[in-house]
Amino acid sequence: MWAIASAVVIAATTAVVATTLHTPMARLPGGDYVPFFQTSAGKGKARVASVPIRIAAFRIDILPVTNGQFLDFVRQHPEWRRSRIKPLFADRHYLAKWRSDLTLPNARAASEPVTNVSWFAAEAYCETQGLRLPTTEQWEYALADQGRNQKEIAQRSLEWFSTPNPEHQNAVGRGEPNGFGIYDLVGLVWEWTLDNNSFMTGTEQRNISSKDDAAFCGSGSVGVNDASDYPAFMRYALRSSLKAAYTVENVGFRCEGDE
Amino acid sequence: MMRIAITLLTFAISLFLTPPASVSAHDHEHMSHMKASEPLPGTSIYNLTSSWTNQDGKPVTLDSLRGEPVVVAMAYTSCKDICPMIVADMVAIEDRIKESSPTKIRFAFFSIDSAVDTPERLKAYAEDHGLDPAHWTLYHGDDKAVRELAAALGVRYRRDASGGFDHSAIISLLNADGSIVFQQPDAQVKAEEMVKKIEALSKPVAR
Repeated sequence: MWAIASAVVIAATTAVVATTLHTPMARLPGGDYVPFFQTSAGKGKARVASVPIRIAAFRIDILPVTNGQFLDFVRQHPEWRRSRIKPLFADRHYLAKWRSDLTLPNARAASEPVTNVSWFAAEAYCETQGLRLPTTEQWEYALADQGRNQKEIAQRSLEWFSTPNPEHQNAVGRGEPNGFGIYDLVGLVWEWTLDNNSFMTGTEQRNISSKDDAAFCGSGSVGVNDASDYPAFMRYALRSSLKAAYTVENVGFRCEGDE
Repeated sequence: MMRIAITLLTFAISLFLTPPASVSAHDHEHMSHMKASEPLPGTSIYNLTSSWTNQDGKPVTLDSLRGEPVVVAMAYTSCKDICPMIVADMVAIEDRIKESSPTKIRFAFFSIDSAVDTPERLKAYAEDHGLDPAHWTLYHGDDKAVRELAAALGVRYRRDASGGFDHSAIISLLNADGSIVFQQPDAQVKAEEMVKKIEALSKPVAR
């Protein structure tokens, strides 16, 4: 009897410690997902109609990583502090809103999503948690939410796009979670994905009238699943415009791990 | 049409985002005299600590390339599209450099196909294409190594349905310390400019 009680106490304590260190995570079951971009069949071949791909079960942070969490990270890993960051890994806007290496702009910033972080810095943070950035497919699968409330999500996306960047972000976790229990996928910050550098939608091709896709080996741009899905265009266009060292004031991230 | 639409969208997005400052290797010129024992400049690709295996099956890190300028590309051996052109361009650069000056320069081919391009396969590819092992190294890495290097070089890639990849055809020139000096973004650009950059890089031979 006593043994059972103490086991419960230990389990409860462990859970508290885990949530203090990092964000709670949602467990997503595996499932089929139709990617927004069709997979190209290879150069010279007809495009393949969008077919569902299988997503394996995974865990994902229910909230974007906050300034407070990122501050803990740079305390423990000085090479990621603003004054020490190598230009290879982040441009000069890295953590631009912070007062100094270890000082947030104000108290409430601790619960706001961290932004002005590069892909390299985001990935390094996740690695220290034993996690990774989610792949674009995992992130989109989380947003697709097994088809729940997709019209509402699209509407909220459009409203968000038309709102100017706020001086301060809202705190994470303010709104309603989606069906998986995940907050803030839309409406707070854009988010890095692991394979952010997968998508070539013509942004690097200045000569867009050229029929020749010589700048890319392969088929260049590919077709999309639903051409009316404007918010999806926006997300993919943003991803294809970001390079890994860029730090942007409304791009943050969350982490993913194996189930 | 689709591409135009997306380009416009991206342009629209770039207007409301903070314009990101690109990372440039503006300090490369006075780095060339530095010795390999000195700390790497912050712009150096060799700050990536990922490990690779060369075509002889030897584990290596990127900083093993330190000391001489390197012409770098990412591609894969089963590619039938532009990759042969990328390698042909690099060979053309090599030939031009050989005839014009005694410049020391290395050539590095990093495979994006972790699954297929084993070191053995890379070696066979090098032999088939007559790539001189005295100047050329071909590298195999895991997914993470490939992803990080591609991120650092600005190479975009994505697997296609036939088991190949769509990927950027970028040839990069790194200085002796591994900072990007020049990138040739399109395999149809003539080798002239790259050759000029290489020669400029190695003019003050007082190293």
